[in-house]
Amino acid sequence: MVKVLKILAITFLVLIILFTVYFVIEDVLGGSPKPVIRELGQFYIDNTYNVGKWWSGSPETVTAILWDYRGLDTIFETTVLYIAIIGCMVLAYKPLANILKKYEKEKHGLTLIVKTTVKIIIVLIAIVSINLALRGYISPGGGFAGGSAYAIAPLIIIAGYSVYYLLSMGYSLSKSAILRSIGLIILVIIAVAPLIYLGYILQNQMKTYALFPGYPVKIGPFYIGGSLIFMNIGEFLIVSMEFIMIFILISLYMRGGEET
Amino acid sequence: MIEYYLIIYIYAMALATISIALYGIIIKPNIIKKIIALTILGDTANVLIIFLAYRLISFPKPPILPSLKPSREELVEFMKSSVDPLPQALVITAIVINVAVIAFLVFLAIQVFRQYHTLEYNEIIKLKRGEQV
Repeated sequence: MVKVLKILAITFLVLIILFTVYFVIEDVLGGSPKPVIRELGQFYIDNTYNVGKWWSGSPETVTAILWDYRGLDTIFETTVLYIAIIGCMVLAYKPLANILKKYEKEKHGLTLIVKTTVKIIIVLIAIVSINLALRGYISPGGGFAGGSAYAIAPLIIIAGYSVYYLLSMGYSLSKSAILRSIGLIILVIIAVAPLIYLGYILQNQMKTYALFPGYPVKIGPFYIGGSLIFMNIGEFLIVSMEFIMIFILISLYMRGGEET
Repeated sequence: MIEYYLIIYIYAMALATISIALYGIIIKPNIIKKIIALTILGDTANVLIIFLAYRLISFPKPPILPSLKPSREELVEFMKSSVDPLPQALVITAIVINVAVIAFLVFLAIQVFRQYHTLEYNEIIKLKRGEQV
């Protein structure tokens, strides 16, 4: 068994090295990072910002491609994340039943210096991540980046203090699940609403072949980028809360393993 | 000319890292080490895709349009001076999927440890055979 695996590994490595050599030679001749933009990228930008007929309400091209032109892609990617979390919860469900512990100051956590640093840093993380999510349609960032950044705050609380401290702060699995569901509902409502006005699913701005007039780009003095800001808020809730659920589950699950 | 050597260097390093990660996934007997090698593989693939978006011009700009409602000329100017936005849009979803898959694998590894009290692949196979006999 082990011999077969080793032979397989060596074959893989030889293939990878041959591929590397070929790729590098091809790269020098053809040049992979090109001075001009690729045809595929140009196609995407052309179709996302087809000037005159339609446009995306955001100057941030990554967000515009992600939510406007490739919206269904992102919806199914969110589904994959959802199913993975459901799998984790199913695996961890049973050992979680008999874990109810209080946070004890003396027993848990690292030194006072680390705890004070954690207290300062989590505020900064929260501000930066919410800023990333809310301004995702005009500056680099968005729901995914903001959500992933926000989930770091509970993670360093678990490392610095304890998972019981995190639970006593008010984070919990059921609250995270509710907020995650609110994010999913926001996504679904924003995606389906154009159908009522005879538009297309996930439609953002006005198109020549649909009656839906498009989401408002400007409310008062603020640009909101059509549906993009709502999508970013929903995705921020989904990603951050599901990551928090993963971290709480893993830390509680391991402690359950020690006890039994 | 130096850009070409830098490009060769970056590609060679990325693909060497991928081959090390594949080695770890296949050869290492510990399940946690296999998962660590898998994260290295995924991150290197993401770095490689981001690098494909780079443009061989001096100081390429981030992919943000200068105005809210761009004209045709502004779009052409944007395509000449900014990095390719498409690989970045693909990678931002790949990172989240990567985390979800790794979390699920970690849960499976914890489950294996609870069942067999070891994470060594060879010992788990031996224990399984011993149970069947």
